[in-house]
Amino acid sequence: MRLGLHAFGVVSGLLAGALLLGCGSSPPPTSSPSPDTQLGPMPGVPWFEDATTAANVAFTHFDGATAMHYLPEVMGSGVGWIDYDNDGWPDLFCVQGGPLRPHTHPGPLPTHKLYRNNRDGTFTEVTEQVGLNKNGYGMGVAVGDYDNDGFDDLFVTYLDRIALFKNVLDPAAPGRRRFEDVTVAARLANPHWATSCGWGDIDGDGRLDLYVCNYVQIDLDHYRTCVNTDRNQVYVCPPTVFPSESHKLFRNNGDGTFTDITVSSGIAAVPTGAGLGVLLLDLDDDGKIDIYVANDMGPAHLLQNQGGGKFIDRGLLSGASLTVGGRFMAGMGIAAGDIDGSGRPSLFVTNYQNEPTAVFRNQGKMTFMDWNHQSGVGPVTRRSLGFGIVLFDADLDGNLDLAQTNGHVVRNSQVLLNAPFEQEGLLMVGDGKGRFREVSEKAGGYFREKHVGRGLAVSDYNNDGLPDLAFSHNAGPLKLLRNATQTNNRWLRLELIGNGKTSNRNAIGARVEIETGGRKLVRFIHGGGSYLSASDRRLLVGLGTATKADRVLVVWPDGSREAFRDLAANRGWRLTQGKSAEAVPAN
Amino acid sequence: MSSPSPPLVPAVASRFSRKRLGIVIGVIAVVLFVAGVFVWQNSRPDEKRTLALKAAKEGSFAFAEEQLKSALADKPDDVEVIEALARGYLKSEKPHEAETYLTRWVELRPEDPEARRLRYEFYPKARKLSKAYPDGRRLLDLTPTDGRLRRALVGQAVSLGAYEDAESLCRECLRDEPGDRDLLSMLAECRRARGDLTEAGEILDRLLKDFPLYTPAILYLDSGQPEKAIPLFREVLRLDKTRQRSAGYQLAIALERSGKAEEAKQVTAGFRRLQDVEVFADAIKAQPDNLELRVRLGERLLAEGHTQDGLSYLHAVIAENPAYGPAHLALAKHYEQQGQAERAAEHRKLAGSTP
Repeated sequence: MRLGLHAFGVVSGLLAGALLLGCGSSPPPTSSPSPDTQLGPMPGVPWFEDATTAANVAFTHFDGATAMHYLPEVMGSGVGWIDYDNDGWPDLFCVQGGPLRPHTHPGPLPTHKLYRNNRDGTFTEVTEQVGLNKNGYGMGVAVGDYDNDGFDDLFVTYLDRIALFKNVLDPAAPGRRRFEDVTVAARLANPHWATSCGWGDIDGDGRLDLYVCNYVQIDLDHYRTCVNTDRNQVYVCPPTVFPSESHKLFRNNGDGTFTDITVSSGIAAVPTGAGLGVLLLDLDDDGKIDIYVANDMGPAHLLQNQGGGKFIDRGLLSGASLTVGGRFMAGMGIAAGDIDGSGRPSLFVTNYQNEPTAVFRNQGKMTFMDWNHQSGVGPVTRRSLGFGIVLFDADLDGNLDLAQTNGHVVRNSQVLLNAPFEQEGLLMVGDGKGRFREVSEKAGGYFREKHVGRGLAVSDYNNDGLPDLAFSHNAGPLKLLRNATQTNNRWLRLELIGNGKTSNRNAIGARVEIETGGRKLVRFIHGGGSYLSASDRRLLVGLGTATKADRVLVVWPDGSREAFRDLAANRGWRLTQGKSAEAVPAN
Repeated sequence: MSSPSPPLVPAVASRFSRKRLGIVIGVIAVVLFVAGVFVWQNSRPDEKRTLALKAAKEGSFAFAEEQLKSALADKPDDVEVIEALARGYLKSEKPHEAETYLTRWVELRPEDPEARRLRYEFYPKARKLSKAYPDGRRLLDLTPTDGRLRRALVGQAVSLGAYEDAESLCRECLRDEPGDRDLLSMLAECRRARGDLTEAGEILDRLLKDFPLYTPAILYLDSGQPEKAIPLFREVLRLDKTRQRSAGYQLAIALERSGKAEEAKQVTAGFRRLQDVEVFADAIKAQPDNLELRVRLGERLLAEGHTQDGLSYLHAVIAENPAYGPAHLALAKHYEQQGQAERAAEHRKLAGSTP
């Protein structure tokens, strides 16, 4: 009986519990979006949709994380846009990392991927077909037609080397293109940890030369870990623990080979820095391409072109080398553009957590003023650790906007530094007067997702007149964002082709002035930029409500000027040096 | 002699009554339980709300969250619950949710400074600086004597490019602190941004006279007047030990822009030393037993002409490990450059290398 009563009590209890639970259960929690989080496009505000899956892009950066927290594990790899088959539709090249000790890796090693644009918003992976199924610990990419044959070639940096892949006709399949590794034949060598790289004609001979950033010297076999003694946790070592390496400058000899001119150019004389970003552009409007280099925890280099392939570092005293307080930047990615209507390119450099993305406003004559606070970029970017960065006109209003990808380098940053490892990317719209306003919350779901952002490159891959973005993530999937901004603003897409003799065919180094609707917009074609990545070289110029560009003045890399008149809006134009403008067929 | 048979009836009766007793107890229990549930059900919403609020206040937000939401579903304008949710989500770092409830709180209690203050402080952390500012302005209306807030808003307004507003706030602040140099600097910046270079110049002149400080020097430099900036930076370097690096850097730029390249280089070397020591200090902290790192810092300092600093770093390494070759080698190279062959040879020998 006692048992019976007990059993009754238990049953009653269970029943009561069930009732309690049943009665007490609340409706399932609902996700409550922030009041101003935009769930759909808003007219006039940039809006990006994740098109990765729909576009058949399925690239994931190799996760090489180990308990040693080796520095390369968190540096990521880049992404590049290259129209390798010259069909007018940008294809997508994804640089792949890999295991640090490949011989111990089970199974096939991961390779880079090339996705051919199907011209309908989708891509087909053609890596093997084009001969790019190469493995190695890949880092950065630069796209350029180094032999002026009309087809873009690929240059890739690795943890321990560099590689030049020449775009050639596929002998096995007439009409098709493939890539041949010509590194040795081109006499290119750099047995160091190379990162960002960029093409530019530094000596005015009409051929693209090559700058390669080197980061630091590491020895995996004798690697010293860094330990946070308070928490007894291993963490990724700062770059300052390692000796840095001189960067490289290779002159294009015009016969398929290059000469290492690091010493003769004066670059070897510049104190070494842990290079992560490079941009090749005429910064002082003297007609010669200069080189700006972002170094991690060291002064940025501003290598002013003296002519004849010689450079001197003007960084420290130009005002574009350190923060306004004289501190080193943890310089990663670089962007440049005319953000204030001055016609001069200002510089943006992404920086460490709690440090703002540096904005150096170009005052002419190789002088810069700190503009991060006044631009509005500083206060917004301070909360993130920035890597890739691009300036582009997301809403086609004629003003340059800014996208930046973020992610910490310390895997256990949340515990050790109270900062998240995965971070949101950000988008800011420019007002054309040097100021920017953040619109990340209204720009689509991606900007609310957390990733370990690294590479970033812009291209209008679907040729719809709106610039799209590709983001690479450390140990994560690449994301392709399609620009779906609702706008009636009009645009021009300008594809510049140099004569291949006095100006390089890619027209890297050209300055373009677009007169439209009473405004003058100035754009530049530069080499390098962002972090480890290569954006589409075609200029997508927002015209606002104007129906045409009244005049487009091109200052070609060789200094010659050419004006093209009355270019109708909402279409692509091919501007070939010495020829009249040619409308590019829509499809 | 049979023993009396046991009474059958009482046994059965006892069994029966036991059974009945069990049933009765069972029925009573069920009745009590149902009644309890009924009473509990009727009193539950308030009780649950109270308990949840208490739990949230005591820091058990995870436990209280769903109960609070449920209470809010019953009474959507319950400010106390909304406040608890807002605070809970702020603490648990769920920005979207926090903003939702903060905003609801502000909507329901637009005059409540606490709600406004919390949202004002939340926005910058949630990447919404431009939204913080209007909240700050409203908060200032609600707490007009808050001088610290007014001052903070001046800086925010300047950073947002709201120069007109910044100027007005700045002038209000200056009424209380008429000689404040940072406020005067910001006022000059506002006037300059609004195109009044004359007043901006006058303010700078006043700052120059009264406060030979960093900010006006920067403004002079940025406005293309490096000559005026130079004496200010020199004064900062002389007076302010905390700004040696930044003032040194800016002085070097000002000197360069004034055509004094040689002096610019000398000043550069000075602040580069500070940078090197700072950066290497971080690296050494990360790898305290890495002697090679300390040798590298010593070499860097020697190369940049900071002989005493460089030597002291190298000798400190040798004191720690007298046989550490790279330190001896670095010293040998240094003494060779100084023409002190004997000392160089001594260190080379200790390094185990030949020239």
